[in-house]
Amino acid sequence: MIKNIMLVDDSAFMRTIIKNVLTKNGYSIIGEAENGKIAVELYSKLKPDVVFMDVVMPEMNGIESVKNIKANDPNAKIIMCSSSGQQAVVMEAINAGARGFITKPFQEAKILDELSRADT
Amino acid sequence: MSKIDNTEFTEIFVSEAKEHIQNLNNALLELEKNPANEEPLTIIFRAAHTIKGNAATMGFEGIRDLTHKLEDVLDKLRKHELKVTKDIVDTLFECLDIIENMINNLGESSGDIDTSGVIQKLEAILNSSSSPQPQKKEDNTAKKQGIILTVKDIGAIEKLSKKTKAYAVKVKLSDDCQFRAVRAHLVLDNLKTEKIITTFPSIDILEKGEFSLEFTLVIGTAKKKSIIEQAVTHIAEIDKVEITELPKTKDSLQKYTETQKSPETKKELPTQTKNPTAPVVESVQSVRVSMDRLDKLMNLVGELLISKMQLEDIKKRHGLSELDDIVQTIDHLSFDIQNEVMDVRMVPVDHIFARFPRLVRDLAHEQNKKIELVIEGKEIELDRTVLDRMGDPLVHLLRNSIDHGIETLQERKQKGKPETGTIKLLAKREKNTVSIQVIDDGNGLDPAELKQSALKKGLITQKQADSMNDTEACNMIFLPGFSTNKVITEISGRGVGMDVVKSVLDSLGGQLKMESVLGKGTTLTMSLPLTLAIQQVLLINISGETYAIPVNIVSKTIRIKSKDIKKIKGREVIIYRSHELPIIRINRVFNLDAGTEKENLLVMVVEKEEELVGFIIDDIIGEQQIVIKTLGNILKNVKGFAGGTTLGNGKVALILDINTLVEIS
Repeated sequence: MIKNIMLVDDSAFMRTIIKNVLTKNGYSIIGEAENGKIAVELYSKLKPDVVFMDVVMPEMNGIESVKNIKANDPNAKIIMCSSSGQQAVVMEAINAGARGFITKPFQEAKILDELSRADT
Repeated sequence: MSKIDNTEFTEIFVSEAKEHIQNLNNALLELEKNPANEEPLTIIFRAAHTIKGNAATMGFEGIRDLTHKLEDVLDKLRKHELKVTKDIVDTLFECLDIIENMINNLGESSGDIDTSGVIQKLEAILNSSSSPQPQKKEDNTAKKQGIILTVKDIGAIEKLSKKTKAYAVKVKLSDDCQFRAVRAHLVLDNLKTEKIITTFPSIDILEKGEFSLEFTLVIGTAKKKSIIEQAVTHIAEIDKVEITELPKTKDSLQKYTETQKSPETKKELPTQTKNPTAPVVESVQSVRVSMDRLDKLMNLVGELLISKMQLEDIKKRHGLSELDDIVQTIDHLSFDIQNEVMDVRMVPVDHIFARFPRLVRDLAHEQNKKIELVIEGKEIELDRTVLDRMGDPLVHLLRNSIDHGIETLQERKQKGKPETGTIKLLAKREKNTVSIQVIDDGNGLDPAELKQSALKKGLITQKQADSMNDTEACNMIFLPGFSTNKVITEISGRGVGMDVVKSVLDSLGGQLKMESVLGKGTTLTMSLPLTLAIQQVLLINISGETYAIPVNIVSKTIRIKSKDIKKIKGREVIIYRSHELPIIRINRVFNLDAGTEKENLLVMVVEKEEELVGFIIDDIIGEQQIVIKTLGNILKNVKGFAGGTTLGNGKVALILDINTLVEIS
């Protein structure tokens, strides 16, 4: 069962949007990080069931962060949050071990859909 | 599929977008100065990118579309397909202004803001670049992808072991699927344990995403159809999966070799945005709280302080020593809470300083002047309310420095000054005040001209003019009525709305000082209280009433004999430090019962804009922190008071406003 989610995005606005959708649907946000570096540290501390990860961030970007998290926990489930025009980067993230992705503007159903598919 | 209802997030969207606009402005200024520097571009790109994404999420299509175009231009700049030119920078600035405007007008009529002009300009820039933007083709390739097997494919199927079956797995992605390549990649990835014989279109094209919504894989597997289906539907944005078992004999497969090759649709995708290298910008994890709530919290702290004082009062009056400990604890706690709340309300002056580099740049460009703005102390913090009110006066002062202080290039050259004029904006913390200085190395004010003008206006007498030093003369520009003098504004350039600046400072309880050296430049110093809500005051007694006066303006109290008071030109003065010190009897101003004239008088010497004034009071009660409450509607126009406060004994004390007191005396 997926329950505990961690959000990684340098935009507090984006985190709020996703958080709102997830909490409304019974998920718990157990951690938030605003760059990839914090995310890596926070992941090993919190061990969330799923991570939503932005691609473009300061300090450490989403791809590097996925690689780092996956290196520590090969079972980590990470969903990329990307914008239109970032296909190549998302592909890179998938190759680095991300499970799936959602694209901005986020739609509630797509967020939930992607999340439910991570549950295996 | 329903969009997320985001109306409740508008506030956070706006405040974040404004921060990004600010960063964009600053980075763009940096880029303009140093076009070879890649870092500002990275910052600009990221900020624009975030605004675009956030605006799209909120459904603000105008902002999204404009930032999208902006992003296209920025991308070309990053890839060196465009060079940073003045035109481009100007257009980018214009673009930022419009986006900011749109953000500011979200609630009202954001649709009314016309973006077509700037979008055209951005498009013109895009078209001028060396590699033109690839044309997006309409996605009209919903044609079915047939299976056309090659001899080699058929050979591979024939070679499959007995247990292994051949399937054609036809996958249809959902209509709104954005990254087809990634979805196709995920499908291939999930089936990687099976033998993938061939794909339609080819893997190469699948990985580029250059296909319509459908694609077909021919695989060999020993697994059940349903397992394969699960593996595919496990991926999001898959609309439909059709799995057909293929025959395994050469003859039966022959029908799949028919020659009508379906035209390969090359759908070019817009240029990919690469991930920019992240610069080191540390952001702080924080919660946003509206000012309203902070104001409420501050009020509650005020009430707490008053209750605390009342408790102390009761303890004292009844000699309740058991209460000592608890009163002391409450004292500490309320002190800490008050400090914390005040701290929360503090914002760095950068909050308003940050927009000045852009302002100075624009005005300097307009007037063909070269001006460098130096900002120091932008991390200094002030109460949000104080800072907010300082925005306009500061704009005003900077404008004055640019319009009239800093000379034209030619004038500066003639005077042997460096071509580039400097305006310094400095913030400094000094005990309980913050000083903000605007210093320019322009032409300065001419005291003689100022005196002349004031004489003409009848604001001063010849004698006053003669006794005035240069600083005093310069400070005349703050006199109401002075600034409207047309002659002066033309000659000295200063004075437009200076009295407005002063009145803001007055209402904040701040001080304003101007120093100017003709030919060398002008320094304007403003000192501001850290906060408006809580103040350290002296409680004084006049005719049995308690009044409060801000401690920072009281310079001294002295004892005098009533016979020391002399009358000069109808005004009462005493000689203090060998100067005439005007004396004001507050009891007379307020028509209080003064009783019989006492022989020994107590005079409180108060600083009022570099000048000293003496107030006769009966007694000093003590120093105390008070919470300032505004006077109600009935009293708010009564001159002489800045507000009121509730004291520990439950009584109300009025706070004296020295500026208006002097006026009405």
